[in-house]
Amino acid sequence: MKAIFTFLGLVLVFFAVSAQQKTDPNALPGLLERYYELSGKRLLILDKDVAALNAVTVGDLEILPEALTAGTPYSFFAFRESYVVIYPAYLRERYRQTTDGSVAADEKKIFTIKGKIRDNEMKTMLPGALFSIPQLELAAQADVRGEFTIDIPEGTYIGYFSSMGKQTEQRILKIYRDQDIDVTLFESVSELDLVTVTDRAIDANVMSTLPGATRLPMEELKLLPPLLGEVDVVKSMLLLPGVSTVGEGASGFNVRGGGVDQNLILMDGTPVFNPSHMFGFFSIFNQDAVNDATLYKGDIPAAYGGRLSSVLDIKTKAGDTERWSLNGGVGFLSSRLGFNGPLSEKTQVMATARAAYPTWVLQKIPNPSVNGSSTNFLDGNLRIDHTINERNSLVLSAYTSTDYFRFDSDTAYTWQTNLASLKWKAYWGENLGTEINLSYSGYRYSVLGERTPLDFELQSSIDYIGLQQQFEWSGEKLEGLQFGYQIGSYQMGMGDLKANSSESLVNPELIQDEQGLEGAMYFQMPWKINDRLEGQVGLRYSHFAAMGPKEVYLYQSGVPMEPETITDTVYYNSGEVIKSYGGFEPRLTLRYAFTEDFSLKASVNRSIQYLHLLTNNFASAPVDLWKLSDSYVQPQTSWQYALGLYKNLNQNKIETSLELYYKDMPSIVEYRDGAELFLNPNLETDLVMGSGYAYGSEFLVKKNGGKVNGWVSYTYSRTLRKVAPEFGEPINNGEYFPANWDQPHDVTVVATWQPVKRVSFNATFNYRTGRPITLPSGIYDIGGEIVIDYQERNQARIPDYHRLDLGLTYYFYQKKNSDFRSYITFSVYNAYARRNAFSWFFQPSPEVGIPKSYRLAVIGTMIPSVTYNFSIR
Amino acid sequence: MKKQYTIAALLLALLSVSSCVDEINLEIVESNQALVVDAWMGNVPEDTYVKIYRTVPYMSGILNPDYLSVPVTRVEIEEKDGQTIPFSQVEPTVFKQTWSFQPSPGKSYRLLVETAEGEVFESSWEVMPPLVEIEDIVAKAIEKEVMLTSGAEPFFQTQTFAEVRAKLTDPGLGEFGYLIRTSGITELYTSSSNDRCRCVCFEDDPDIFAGMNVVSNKNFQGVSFQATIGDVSLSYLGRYFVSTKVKTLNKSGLDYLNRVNDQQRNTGSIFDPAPSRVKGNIKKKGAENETVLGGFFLFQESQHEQMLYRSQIRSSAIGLNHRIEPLPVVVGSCTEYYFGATAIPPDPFLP
Repeated sequence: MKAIFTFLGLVLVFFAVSAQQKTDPNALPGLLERYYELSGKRLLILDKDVAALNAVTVGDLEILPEALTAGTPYSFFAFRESYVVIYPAYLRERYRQTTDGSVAADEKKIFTIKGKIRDNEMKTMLPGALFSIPQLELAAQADVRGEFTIDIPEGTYIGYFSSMGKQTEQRILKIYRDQDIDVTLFESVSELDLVTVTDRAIDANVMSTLPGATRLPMEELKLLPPLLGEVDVVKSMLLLPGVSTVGEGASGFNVRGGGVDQNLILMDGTPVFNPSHMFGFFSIFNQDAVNDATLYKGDIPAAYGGRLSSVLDIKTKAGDTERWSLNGGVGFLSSRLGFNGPLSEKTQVMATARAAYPTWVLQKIPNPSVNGSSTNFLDGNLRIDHTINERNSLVLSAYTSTDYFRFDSDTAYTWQTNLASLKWKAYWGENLGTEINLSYSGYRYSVLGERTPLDFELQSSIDYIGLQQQFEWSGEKLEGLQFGYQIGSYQMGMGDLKANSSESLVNPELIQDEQGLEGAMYFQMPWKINDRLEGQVGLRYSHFAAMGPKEVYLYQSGVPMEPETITDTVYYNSGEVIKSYGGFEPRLTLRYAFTEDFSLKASVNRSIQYLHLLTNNFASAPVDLWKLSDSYVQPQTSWQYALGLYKNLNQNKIETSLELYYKDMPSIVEYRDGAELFLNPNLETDLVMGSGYAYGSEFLVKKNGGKVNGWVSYTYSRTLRKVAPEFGEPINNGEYFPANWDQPHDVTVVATWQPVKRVSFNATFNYRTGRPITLPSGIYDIGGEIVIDYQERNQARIPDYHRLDLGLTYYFYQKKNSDFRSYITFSVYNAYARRNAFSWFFQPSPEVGIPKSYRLAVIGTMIPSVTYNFSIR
Repeated sequence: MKKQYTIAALLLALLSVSSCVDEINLEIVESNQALVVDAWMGNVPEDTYVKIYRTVPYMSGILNPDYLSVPVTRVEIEEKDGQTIPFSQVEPTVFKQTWSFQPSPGKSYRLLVETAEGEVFESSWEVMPPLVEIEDIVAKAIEKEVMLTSGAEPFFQTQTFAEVRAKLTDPGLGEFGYLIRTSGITELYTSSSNDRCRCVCFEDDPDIFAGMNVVSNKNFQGVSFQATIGDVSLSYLGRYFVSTKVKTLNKSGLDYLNRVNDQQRNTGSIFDPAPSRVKGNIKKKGAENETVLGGFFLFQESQHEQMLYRSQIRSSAIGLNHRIEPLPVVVGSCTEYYFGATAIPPDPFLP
């Protein structure tokens, strides 16, 4: 039987045809591409059929299917003006013969076939994949979830399952009842198939109902220039409109005017508190372990919550169900190795490990401030998928990492991330599916003082345990309804100072821990008014309780909170609620499709955040303190309103969009000038609640497919804050001031050029306005020490930032059916070696003690890198 | 393989040294000319003063000492039991106590200033910290890499230094701080064929600690400890005279100076706080949010002087990589080589 399901290369090709007498398989791709450009239809031809088709020329372009098949034993049919399938004519003829004189086709019973088309390599569904039955000249396209439904008269047929870049799967389908079909497509080895890979509906940006959502599969990420040899999910997200960073070396990213703590980053459903290794030069997401990344920056689905600005949902890869494979990469500064494959018919495993080891090179540099430094990180992923039976499956995912950074001999920084999740996926009855995810996220970070006799270790930590259960209804009524609940427990180590040796004179100090419980219930469902007007409506109710044990200080009313105004202390026992907050978080999106390639989307959503990252530094650092809401620090809240116009051109080859947003943040957490955030038992006295707003527009033009593809985006955005407490000093005299990450203009250009199959060039360019900074106003001296008086917060800007990165990927020759494939990447970060300012600072000069102005550029030169990547099956 | 290592080292060197700091020329035209009150009171009358003036504009690398004076009608320090110590103007911006007064540790004081325009500024009540005597000064040889310049090329060399520490015993009377200032006089030798050569010079070293030296007693309360007060090069043959003054400061003074210290050591990195105005303990009466810079600091000062013998320090650590600078050759006086030095022995060096 299996022999029947011979894998055939489906050719989706694009190049110009030469004026040859015979149809040359090597030249045909160009001709088909020209046809696609002309007609907007993709022509699907099985690899083995090419030689039997007619020779065609450019002059045949307008009637290419007819020209290819006229007088040959092949026929064709069109599907939705998007695809033309060429197939052996006998299939259709035989079908007609068997139906003539027997039961008339219209008297046949009709059965519903529901199918799923999966990607073997990425372990994801394949949205946009095509299912076709040439005999019936019927076809259906998989939706955004990789699923399709089609009604078929009873009978036996050959079904084609096709997707770009994948080998077409053929199956004999005996349709005598309603059926569910689940097909996995394998990567094609056909040269031409590799030109373009798409895994979503080609008009998804127009027709999906979620504005501001971007999914980037790892295959697409790999086309971007790597930094230091690594394909980086977080760095790639920074190329999207509305996503920015305050500078090189800063942890995290900013989305639509939100702080870095306002992004919920999930790895297999487990929250990540620091996505960076080595201060953002690497992310914690190993390219060999990641399947895809989805960023929600506009409407955030109701299943997600707890952050104001965005959700970055990273899914790891599952192990291969058929074969073992080994993959990895070797670079000068880091290397990685991974394997995956089946442990049994029902169980697959995927494991990766990665290490960065730049210290040996640092030590060779003749600079005492550098060769005394050391830095490294290690991380590893493990994922085990187990199918219990047809209706139940388990996924265990785990991640661990450790970072160490010491600059010179004084101070070292370490941080560790440990993540684990266990997901149980089950189908209850015909129409109800459920996922239960139990997750743990641990983050520990330390500052190590290494100068005796004051050597110390200052530790902080976060331990989160969460449970989420989500149900999905797929019955006829209320199809697509999702609902569920979520509960999470936080244990926050707020600071534990210890002597690091027996000789140390440091007095131990412990800031009391914080505990909290966060729970939520939610539902979301698609809302279809008619074919043009669709949307989603959702509601989430979240509740948070700050819990004991804890001593809470009471402060004198009517005056600013200061240690001197403490009037009493209240002790809460373990399990006692200190303070609780809650609220509804409605989510609504609407999409109105004017045409198939033009739509208008709108969304509104409210978010509440109970966990806050406290930083008063130039940028967020891995050792910044996280804090829960409590009696004095209220939750952060926001309302986001977004409106977008989406227009595709040239048969969806070019996507354009214009998105506008306004974000109102009536409650945000800010720090007072001169705040002491570490080892402060009265932390609330240095924090202050404020408000803010952000607004902006994001314009994107993206070209899909072709030799040259990529996108250009322009973002205009502002984010302003206001802190005018009832008691105590306001910031900026109580007027609005720009947030640290307020960078109004942002232009990004991403381009990939693949002139031949084995070589691709890529380039990215980013320009953005310099970020705000506080400048000196005057100087004075106190007791002989020169002191700088600063202006109000963030009233000036450092120079604008711009950078060009270039990359080249060369795929080594690979024999058909070879189990070994490899490629090498050369990349250049900051190609024209611009010294982009990270900050300006003002310091007394060592010679005369008079303050001078300095610019710090974290990366002030061009950085080349080379990485050899391989996979063995 | 060696070549690959070289390439790799080169690549990373590019990255590591590319983290660069450049001096920039900023023109900042805005200046708010804020009021500054720099007031110190303690057991040393010469160091007890009140300065009242306005800030001068920030200009990179330029210090304009011509602070604008503020017409003032009243400057006084009030003791909590009611006694008032008046200050009178001795320079356009400087006020000194009118009559001799010795403040007592443990007592509370505050500053009052009234301008000619009738604005009244007052500090919070501050407690005089205790006096802590310096018990001894000790030195220990250490190795450090220093950057030297030969022609246009900087290079690094390991040299030995005496790490000088002051021994103190904290009285255990709560949290306060130590502001330590250490100066020195170094003895410098030269050689000459002239029998009448004045070949030994003495040069002042105004501060042997890089930056402000402010130490909290948080980790030393009630115990003896050694505070680092500076480094002295052991590459010279002569002696070194150390003079250290330690001012004890109460908690608010310590916090203020810590913030100034942080400001002065800020390198603009992700580990440094974004800069902001340093606020002190003085407020304008009736307009508490109005900007008043500076502060009212109470101190008790002790002083200690000691001669260090470099040869002894070197001999106690003979395992270290000591380098001795060759003696400069002069004709008749060491000042031919050491321009800022004197050949007249200061008191500590007199026999």
